[in-house]
Amino acid sequence: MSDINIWLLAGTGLFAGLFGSMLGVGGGFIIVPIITLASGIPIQFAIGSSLVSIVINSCTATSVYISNHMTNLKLGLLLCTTLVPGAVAGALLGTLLPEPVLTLIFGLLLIYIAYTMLPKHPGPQSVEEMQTLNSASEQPQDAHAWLDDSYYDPALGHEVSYKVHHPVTGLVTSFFGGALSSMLGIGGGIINVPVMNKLMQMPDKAAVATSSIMLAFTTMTGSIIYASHGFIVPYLIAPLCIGVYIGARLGATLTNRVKGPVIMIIFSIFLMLTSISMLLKSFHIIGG
Amino acid sequence: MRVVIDNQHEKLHRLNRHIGLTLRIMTAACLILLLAGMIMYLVTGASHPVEITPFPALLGNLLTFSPSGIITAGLIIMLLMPPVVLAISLAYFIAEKDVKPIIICIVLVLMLAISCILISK
Repeated sequence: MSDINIWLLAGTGLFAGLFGSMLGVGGGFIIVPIITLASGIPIQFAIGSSLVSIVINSCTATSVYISNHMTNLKLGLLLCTTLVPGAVAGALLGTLLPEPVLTLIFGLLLIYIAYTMLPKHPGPQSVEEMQTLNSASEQPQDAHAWLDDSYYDPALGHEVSYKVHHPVTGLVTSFFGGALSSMLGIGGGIINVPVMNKLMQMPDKAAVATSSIMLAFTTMTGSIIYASHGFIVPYLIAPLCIGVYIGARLGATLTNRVKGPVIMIIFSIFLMLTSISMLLKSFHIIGG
Repeated sequence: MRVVIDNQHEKLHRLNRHIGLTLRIMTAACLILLLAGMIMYLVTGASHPVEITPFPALLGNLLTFSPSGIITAGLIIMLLMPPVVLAISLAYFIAEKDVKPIIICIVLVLMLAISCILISK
């Protein structure tokens, strides 16, 4: 078994927190491959530690979003009712699957994430497009109107009201999102946010804020299961969590100073290279 | 009608502020413990291999004033944050007699309880 290198873990956490915050994701898909490839720590330990670090990252983000009233709390809790069982199923599967299989699945997921990060046209739906869609599909007696919400957008300078569509489909998708998240140690924002934004037609800021509270529940459940299987080591999680926290704070400050598409392209290339390394590792072509 | 909606909005905003404040306090406490444990670990200069740490052993650390015990205390606070958010929300929705969110919160509590039972077996 490998020894713990605190500085490598803190550095990985800092890097993941920095880029995760700049890209609006939890950072688990950065932490797991780096820890696995750079320090040779078995992937289950890397996944467990990653999940724990995302708990603190998502709780920090939630404290900010919810204080600014951007989080749709009722919807977030509703989606958690399927997300939590999904997380249990995913984590149990993750602790049982052999390491090469998990590494292979992770490598394939990284290729997908790298592809989705490349800048494309048209971009995510804007608030104005959402409002047009919402008014077009408005019904006088909406069965799930109690999920509708609003928030103040400082960039637009006015209150944004929105309706939530297809909550049942959202519940089904959340189950699989939770499973994938817990199995691979990723936050799951990469799955939740597009579902809420594109399918449930929520504005992107509300989707990101609501996803962050959901991540807290998914990663907490996953962390407990990995801990119960012995894959949570205190000396692994402390430097990682502190690194992630500092990195996320720095990233939030730097976001406005760096050009978004440039970060996305550089990061996509990094992820592609990492995914190739993970695939090679899964087939025992390289060690780690 | 407008006054009622504004009143509900204000109450929901108050809930949001309470949750935000609670999460900030718990995050700060958790980070302090993680940092303290890590500094103690660095000072002792011991080397630790990455190996399976059984759950009872992990919780048993809490009783010892060791770097590992302090980090585990931080971990416990961290893992308690989502249930605390759920408890605050449930209390608020019960006070407001908002039936649908109450049912959701109870279902979520049950899901978490069933998960814990499954994990312990």
